[in-house]
Amino acid sequence: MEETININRRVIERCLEGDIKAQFQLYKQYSKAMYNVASRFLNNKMDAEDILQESFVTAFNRLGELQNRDAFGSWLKRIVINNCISLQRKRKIQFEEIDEQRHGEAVDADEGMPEVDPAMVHRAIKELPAKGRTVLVLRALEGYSHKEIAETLDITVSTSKTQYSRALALLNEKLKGKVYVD
Amino acid sequence: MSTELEKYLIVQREAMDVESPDDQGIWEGIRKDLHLADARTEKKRILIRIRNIAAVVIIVLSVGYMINDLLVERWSGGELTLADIDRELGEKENEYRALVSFKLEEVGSFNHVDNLIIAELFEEIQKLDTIYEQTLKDLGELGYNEQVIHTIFDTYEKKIYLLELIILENNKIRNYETDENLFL
Repeated sequence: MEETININRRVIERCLEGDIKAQFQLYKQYSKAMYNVASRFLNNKMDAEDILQESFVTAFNRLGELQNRDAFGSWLKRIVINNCISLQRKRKIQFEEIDEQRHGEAVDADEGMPEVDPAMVHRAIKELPAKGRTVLVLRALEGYSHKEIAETLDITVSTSKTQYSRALALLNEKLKGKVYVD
Repeated sequence: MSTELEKYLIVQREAMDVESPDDQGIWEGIRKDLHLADARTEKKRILIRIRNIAAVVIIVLSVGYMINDLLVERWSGGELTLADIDRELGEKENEYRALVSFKLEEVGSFNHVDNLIIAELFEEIQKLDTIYEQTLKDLGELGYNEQVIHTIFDTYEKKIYLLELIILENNKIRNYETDENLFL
Protein backbone atom coordinates (compact mmCIF):
# COMPACT_ATOMS: atom_id res chain seq x y z
CA MET A 1 0.00 0.00 0.00
CA GLU A 2 2.80 2.35 1.06
CA GLU A 3 4.67 1.37 -2.10
CA THR A 4 1.64 2.10 -4.30
CA ILE A 5 1.31 5.55 -2.76
CA ASN A 6 5.00 6.26 -3.36
CA ILE A 7 4.73 5.13 -6.99
CA ASN A 8 1.70 7.38 -7.42
CA ARG A 9 3.59 10.31 -5.95
CA ARG A 10 6.48 9.73 -8.34
CA VAL A 11 4.11 9.45 -11.31
CA ILE A 12 2.40 12.69 -10.30
CA GLU A 13 5.78 14.41 -9.93
CA ARG A 14 6.66 13.31 -13.47
CA CYS A 15 3.28 14.50 -14.74
CA LEU A 16 4.04 17.90 -13.24
CA GLU A 17 7.23 17.94 -15.29
CA GLY A 18 5.13 17.34 -18.42
CA ASP A 19 6.08 13.67 -18.86
CA ILE A 20 3.54 12.25 -21.36
CA LYS A 21 4.26 8.64 -20.38
CA ALA A 22 3.51 9.41 -16.74
CA GLN A 23 0.30 11.17 -17.77
CA PHE A 24 -0.74 8.11 -19.75
CA GLN A 25 0.13 5.86 -16.80
CA LEU A 26 -2.09 7.96 -14.53
CA TYR A 27 -4.84 7.97 -17.15
CA LYS A 28 -4.77 4.16 -17.48
CA GLN A 29 -4.84 3.77 -13.72
CA TYR A 30 -8.01 5.81 -13.24
CA SER A 31 -9.80 5.90 -16.59
CA LYS A 32 -12.07 2.87 -16.11
CA ALA A 33 -13.26 3.84 -12.63
CA MET A 34 -13.85 7.45 -13.66
CA TYR A 35 -15.60 6.43 -16.85
CA ASN A 36 -18.02 4.24 -14.89
CA VAL A 37 -18.72 7.09 -12.48
CA ALA A 38 -19.51 9.37 -15.41
CA SER A 39 -21.51 6.69 -17.16
CA ARG A 40 -23.74 6.11 -14.15
CA PHE A 41 -24.39 9.83 -13.85
CA LEU A 42 -25.06 10.49 -17.52
CA ASN A 43 -26.26 7.17 -18.96
CA ASN A 44 -24.69 8.11 -22.28
CA LYS A 45 -21.47 6.65 -23.66
CA MET A 46 -20.42 9.71 -25.65
CA ASP A 47 -21.20 12.14 -22.84
CA ALA A 48 -19.31 9.96 -20.38
CA GLU A 49 -16.28 9.82 -22.67
CA ASP A 50 -16.38 13.57 -23.22
CA ILE A 51 -16.52 14.12 -19.46
CA LEU A 52 -13.65 11.70 -18.92
CA GLN A 53 -11.48 13.53 -21.45
CA GLU A 54 -12.39 16.97 -20.11
CA SER A 55 -11.78 15.88 -16.51
CA PHE A 56 -8.33 14.45 -17.21
CA VAL A 57 -7.33 17.57 -19.15
CA THR A 58 -8.50 19.71 -16.21
CA ALA A 59 -6.66 17.48 -13.75
CA PHE A 60 -3.37 17.56 -15.70
CA ASN A 61 -3.58 21.32 -16.17
CA ARG A 62 -4.34 21.95 -12.49
CA LEU A 63 -2.17 19.22 -11.00
CA GLY A 64 0.08 21.83 -9.40
CA GLU A 65 -2.86 22.96 -7.24
CA LEU A 66 -3.22 19.50 -5.67
CA GLN A 67 -1.81 19.81 -2.16
CA ASN A 68 -2.06 16.18 -1.09
CA ARG A 69 -0.55 14.05 -3.87
CA ASP A 70 -1.93 10.89 -2.25
CA ALA A 71 -5.47 12.15 -2.75
CA PHE A 72 -5.25 12.33 -6.54
CA GLY A 73 -7.98 9.69 -7.04
CA SER A 74 -10.58 11.40 -4.90
CA TRP A 75 -9.60 14.79 -6.33
CA LEU A 76 -10.05 13.49 -9.87
CA LYS A 77 -13.38 11.92 -8.96
CA ARG A 78 -14.56 15.28 -7.62
CA ILE A 79 -13.66 16.84 -10.95
CA VAL A 80 -15.54 14.11 -12.84
CA ILE A 81 -18.63 14.42 -10.63
CA ASN A 82 -18.64 18.23 -10.86
CA ASN A 83 -18.32 18.05 -14.63
CA CYS A 84 -21.17 15.53 -14.80
CA ILE A 85 -23.42 17.76 -12.71
CA SER A 86 -22.48 20.79 -14.81
CA LEU A 87 -23.42 18.91 -17.95
CA GLN A 88 -26.71 17.83 -16.42
CA ARG A 89 -27.42 21.44 -15.56
CA LYS A 90 -26.66 22.44 -19.14
CA ARG A 91 -29.08 19.74 -20.24
CA LYS A 92 -31.68 21.49 -18.09
CA ILE A 93 -32.02 18.68 -15.58
CA GLN A 94 -33.48 20.52 -12.60
CA PHE A 95 -33.03 19.06 -9.17
CA GLU A 96 -36.19 20.87 -8.09
CA GLU A 97 -37.78 20.70 -4.71
CA ILE A 98 -40.16 17.85 -4.05
CA ASP A 99 -43.29 18.07 -1.95
CA GLU A 100 -42.20 16.56 1.33
CA GLN A 101 -45.58 14.81 1.62
CA ARG A 102 -44.46 12.58 -1.23
CA HIS A 103 -41.60 11.35 0.87
CA GLY A 104 -43.91 8.58 2.06
CA GLU A 105 -44.32 7.29 -1.47
CA ALA A 106 -40.97 5.62 -1.23
CA VAL A 107 -41.27 1.90 -1.57
CA ASP A 108 -39.88 -0.16 1.21
CA ALA A 109 -36.64 -1.38 -0.28
CA ASP A 110 -35.57 -3.47 2.63
CA GLU A 111 -36.69 -6.84 1.44
CA GLY A 112 -33.38 -8.63 1.65
CA MET A 113 -30.74 -8.63 -1.06
CA PRO A 114 -30.14 -11.87 -2.89
CA GLU A 115 -27.03 -12.26 -4.99
CA VAL A 116 -27.17 -10.03 -8.02
CA ASP A 117 -24.71 -9.47 -10.83
CA PRO A 118 -23.04 -6.07 -10.20
CA ALA A 119 -23.15 -5.36 -13.94
CA MET A 120 -26.90 -5.76 -13.82
CA VAL A 121 -27.15 -3.32 -10.92
CA HIS A 122 -24.93 -0.89 -12.81
CA ARG A 123 -27.27 -1.05 -15.81
CA ALA A 124 -30.33 -0.73 -13.59
CA ILE A 125 -28.89 2.39 -11.95
CA LYS A 126 -28.34 3.95 -15.37
CA GLU A 127 -32.00 3.34 -16.24
CA LEU A 128 -33.21 5.39 -13.26
CA PRO A 129 -34.60 8.89 -13.86
CA ALA A 130 -31.75 11.45 -14.00
CA LYS A 131 -32.53 13.38 -10.82
CA GLY A 132 -32.97 10.37 -8.57
CA ARG A 133 -30.04 8.61 -10.22
CA THR A 134 -27.73 11.52 -9.46
CA VAL A 135 -28.70 11.60 -5.80
CA LEU A 136 -28.48 7.82 -5.48
CA VAL A 137 -25.04 7.67 -7.09
CA LEU A 138 -23.73 10.52 -4.95
CA ARG A 139 -25.12 9.04 -1.75
CA ALA A 140 -24.86 5.28 -2.11
CA LEU A 141 -21.78 4.96 -4.33
CA GLU A 142 -19.73 8.10 -3.80
CA GLY A 143 -20.35 8.50 -0.09
CA TYR A 144 -21.75 12.03 -0.10
CA SER A 145 -23.83 13.06 2.88
CA HIS A 146 -27.30 14.48 2.22
CA LYS A 147 -25.93 17.87 3.30
CA GLU A 148 -23.17 17.68 0.71
CA ILE A 149 -25.63 16.54 -1.96
CA ALA A 150 -27.94 19.41 -1.10
CA GLU A 151 -25.08 21.90 -1.44
CA THR A 152 -23.78 20.34 -4.66
CA LEU A 153 -27.16 20.18 -6.39
CA ASP A 154 -28.56 23.33 -4.79
CA ILE A 155 -31.51 21.56 -3.21
CA THR A 156 -32.62 21.07 0.37
CA VAL A 157 -31.47 18.18 2.52
CA SER A 158 -35.06 17.02 2.69
CA THR A 159 -35.33 16.89 -1.11
CA SER A 160 -32.10 14.96 -1.28
CA LYS A 161 -33.43 12.40 1.18
CA THR A 162 -36.69 12.10 -0.70
CA GLN A 163 -35.03 11.72 -4.09
CA TYR A 164 -32.67 9.16 -2.67
CA SER A 165 -35.39 7.12 -1.01
CA ARG A 166 -37.44 7.04 -4.19
CA ALA A 167 -34.49 6.17 -6.39
CA LEU A 168 -33.48 3.39 -4.06
CA ALA A 169 -37.02 1.97 -4.07
CA LEU A 170 -37.17 2.24 -7.86
CA LEU A 171 -33.85 0.46 -8.20
CA ASN A 172 -35.10 -2.28 -5.94
CA GLU A 173 -38.17 -2.69 -8.13
CA LYS A 174 -36.05 -2.87 -11.26
CA LEU A 175 -33.86 -5.55 -9.78
CA LYS A 176 -36.82 -7.75 -8.86
CA GLY A 177 -37.08 -10.49 -11.39
CA LYS A 178 -33.53 -9.85 -12.64
CA VAL A 179 -32.02 -11.70 -9.75
CA TYR A 180 -29.89 -14.65 -10.42
CA VAL A 181 -28.29 -17.09 -8.06
CA ASP A 182 -24.87 -18.56 -8.52
CA MET B 1 -30.74 2.70 8.74
CA SER B 2 -29.19 0.99 5.73
CA THR B 3 -31.23 -1.33 3.60
CA GLU B 4 -29.82 -4.52 2.15
CA LEU B 5 -29.63 -2.81 -1.23
CA GLU B 6 -27.58 0.05 0.22
CA LYS B 7 -25.24 -2.42 1.86
CA TYR B 8 -24.93 -4.25 -1.43
CA LEU B 9 -24.11 -1.04 -3.31
CA ILE B 10 -21.36 -0.20 -0.83
CA VAL B 11 -19.83 -3.67 -0.88
CA GLN B 12 -20.10 -4.13 -4.64
CA ARG B 13 -19.10 -0.56 -5.49
CA GLU B 14 -15.95 -1.46 -7.42
CA ALA B 15 -17.44 -4.58 -8.96
CA MET B 16 -20.00 -2.34 -10.65
CA ASP B 17 -17.31 -0.61 -12.72
CA VAL B 18 -18.02 -2.91 -15.63
CA GLU B 19 -17.81 -0.56 -18.60
CA SER B 20 -14.60 0.25 -20.39
CA PRO B 21 -13.96 3.52 -22.15
CA ASP B 22 -12.44 3.90 -25.62
CA ASP B 23 -9.00 4.54 -24.12
CA GLN B 24 -7.23 5.14 -27.41
CA GLY B 25 -9.74 7.74 -28.64
CA ILE B 26 -10.02 9.49 -25.29
CA TRP B 27 -6.26 9.56 -24.75
CA GLU B 28 -5.80 11.08 -28.21
CA GLY B 29 -8.32 13.76 -27.28
CA ILE B 30 -6.53 14.44 -23.99
CA ARG B 31 -3.19 14.70 -25.81
CA LYS B 32 -4.63 17.15 -28.33
CA ASP B 33 -6.25 19.26 -25.61
CA LEU B 34 -3.06 19.29 -23.53
CA HIS B 35 -1.04 20.17 -26.62
CA LEU B 36 -3.46 23.00 -27.39
CA ALA B 37 -3.23 24.16 -23.80
CA ASP B 38 0.58 24.02 -24.02
CA ALA B 39 0.48 25.93 -27.30
CA ARG B 40 -1.79 28.52 -25.74
CA THR B 41 0.51 28.78 -22.72
CA GLU B 42 3.53 29.08 -25.02
CA LYS B 43 1.74 31.70 -27.11
CA LYS B 44 0.81 33.56 -23.93
CA ARG B 45 4.44 33.29 -22.73
CA ILE B 46 5.70 34.65 -26.05
CA LEU B 47 3.19 37.49 -25.94
CA ILE B 48 4.25 38.34 -22.38
CA ARG B 49 7.91 38.25 -23.48
CA ILE B 50 7.17 40.52 -26.46
CA ARG B 51 5.24 42.86 -24.18
CA ASN B 52 8.15 42.95 -21.72
CA ILE B 53 10.65 43.61 -24.51
CA ALA B 54 8.38 46.34 -25.90
CA ALA B 55 8.14 47.87 -22.42
CA VAL B 56 11.92 47.84 -22.06
CA VAL B 57 12.35 49.37 -25.54
CA ILE B 58 9.83 52.09 -24.70
CA ILE B 59 11.60 52.81 -21.40
CA VAL B 60 15.01 52.91 -23.10
CA LEU B 61 13.69 55.16 -25.87
CA SER B 62 11.96 57.41 -23.34
CA VAL B 63 15.07 57.71 -21.20
CA GLY B 64 17.18 58.30 -24.32
CA TYR B 65 14.74 60.91 -25.51
CA MET B 66 14.74 62.59 -22.10
CA ILE B 67 18.54 62.61 -21.95
CA ASN B 68 18.72 63.93 -25.50
CA ASP B 69 16.07 66.50 -24.70
CA LEU B 70 17.95 67.62 -21.61
CA LEU B 71 21.22 67.89 -23.53
CA VAL B 72 19.63 69.80 -26.39
CA GLU B 73 17.87 72.05 -23.92
CA ARG B 74 21.14 72.58 -22.13
CA TRP B 75 22.90 73.39 -25.36
CA SER B 76 20.14 75.60 -26.68
CA GLY B 77 18.93 77.09 -23.41
CA GLY B 78 22.10 79.12 -22.69
CA GLU B 79 23.01 76.90 -19.72
CA LEU B 80 26.09 75.55 -21.45
CA THR B 81 29.33 76.68 -19.88
CA LEU B 82 32.84 76.67 -21.30
CA ALA B 83 33.66 73.82 -18.91
CA ASP B 84 31.11 71.65 -20.80
CA ILE B 85 33.09 72.23 -24.00
CA ASP B 86 36.64 72.03 -22.76
CA ARG B 87 38.20 71.52 -19.35
CA GLU B 88 40.96 74.09 -19.88
CA LEU B 89 38.52 76.71 -21.12
CA GLY B 90 36.43 75.97 -18.02
CA GLU B 91 39.41 76.45 -15.72
CA LYS B 92 40.32 79.72 -17.45
CA GLU B 93 36.73 80.96 -17.09
CA ASN B 94 36.77 80.01 -13.40
CA GLU B 95 39.91 82.10 -12.88
CA TYR B 96 38.22 85.08 -14.54
CA ARG B 97 35.09 84.53 -12.46
CA ALA B 98 37.11 84.41 -9.24
CA LEU B 99 38.88 87.62 -10.16
CA VAL B 100 35.63 89.40 -11.06
CA SER B 101 34.00 88.27 -7.87
CA PHE B 102 37.02 89.42 -5.81
CA LYS B 103 36.93 92.87 -7.43
CA LEU B 104 33.13 93.08 -7.13
CA GLU B 105 33.45 92.49 -3.38
CA GLU B 106 35.92 95.33 -3.14
CA VAL B 107 33.72 97.62 -5.22
CA GLY B 108 30.64 96.66 -3.21
CA SER B 109 32.04 98.33 -0.09
CA PHE B 110 32.29 101.73 -1.83
CA ASN B 111 29.94 104.62 -1.03
CA HIS B 112 30.54 106.63 -4.17
CA VAL B 113 27.85 105.32 -6.47
CA ASP B 114 26.56 108.89 -6.84
CA ASN B 115 29.87 109.82 -8.47
CA LEU B 116 29.29 110.51 -12.16
CA ILE B 117 32.37 108.69 -13.43
CA ILE B 118 31.76 105.65 -11.26
CA ALA B 119 28.07 105.59 -12.31
CA GLU B 120 29.12 105.62 -15.98
CA LEU B 121 31.57 102.78 -15.35
CA PHE B 122 28.78 100.75 -13.69
CA GLU B 123 26.58 101.36 -16.72
CA GLU B 124 29.35 100.02 -18.92
CA ILE B 125 29.62 96.96 -16.72
CA GLN B 126 25.86 96.40 -17.09
CA LYS B 127 26.24 96.59 -20.87
CA LEU B 128 29.04 94.03 -20.67
CA ASP B 129 26.80 91.74 -18.58
CA THR B 130 24.13 91.93 -21.26
CA ILE B 131 26.71 91.10 -23.93
CA TYR B 132 27.98 88.22 -21.78
CA GLU B 133 24.46 86.73 -21.38
CA GLN B 134 23.84 87.00 -25.08
CA THR B 135 27.18 85.35 -25.82
CA LEU B 136 26.31 82.47 -23.47
CA LYS B 137 23.07 81.97 -25.42
CA ASP B 138 25.09 81.92 -28.63
CA LEU B 139 27.37 79.33 -27.05
CA GLY B 140 24.33 77.18 -26.18
CA GLU B 141 23.06 77.36 -29.76
CA LEU B 142 26.33 77.09 -31.63
CA GLY B 143 28.42 75.00 -29.27
CA TYR B 144 32.14 75.33 -29.73
CA ASN B 145 32.82 78.54 -31.63
CA GLU B 146 36.12 80.44 -31.36
CA GLN B 147 34.58 83.85 -31.91
CA VAL B 148 31.99 83.28 -29.20
CA ILE B 149 34.66 82.00 -26.79
CA HIS B 150 36.82 85.01 -27.57
CA THR B 151 33.89 87.36 -26.88
CA ILE B 152 33.26 85.67 -23.51
CA PHE B 153 36.85 86.15 -22.35
CA ASP B 154 36.87 89.63 -23.82
CA THR B 155 33.84 90.61 -21.71
CA TYR B 156 35.55 89.19 -18.60
CA GLU B 157 38.71 91.21 -19.31
CA LYS B 158 36.75 94.40 -19.98
CA LYS B 159 34.69 93.88 -16.87
CA ILE B 160 37.82 93.42 -14.78
CA TYR B 161 39.31 96.52 -16.38
CA LEU B 162 36.18 98.55 -15.62
CA LEU B 163 36.11 97.29 -12.04
CA GLU B 164 39.76 98.33 -11.64
CA LEU B 165 38.90 101.76 -12.99
CA ILE B 166 36.13 102.02 -10.40
CA ILE B 167 38.58 101.04 -7.69
CA LEU B 168 41.09 103.64 -8.93
CA GLU B 169 38.44 106.33 -9.12
CA ASN B 170 37.32 105.45 -5.61
CA ASN B 171 40.89 105.63 -4.37
CA LYS B 172 41.27 109.03 -5.97
CA ILE B 173 38.17 110.28 -4.20
CA ARG B 174 39.35 108.86 -0.89
CA ASN B 175 42.79 110.44 -1.31
CA TYR B 176 41.23 113.76 -2.18
CA GLU B 177 38.99 113.53 0.88
CA THR B 178 42.06 112.72 3.08
CA ASP B 179 44.03 115.68 1.64
CA GLU B 180 41.11 117.98 2.30
CA ASN B 181 40.93 116.83 5.88
CA LEU B 182 44.61 117.50 6.28
CA PHE B 183 44.18 121.10 5.12
CA LEU B 184 41.20 121.66 7.37
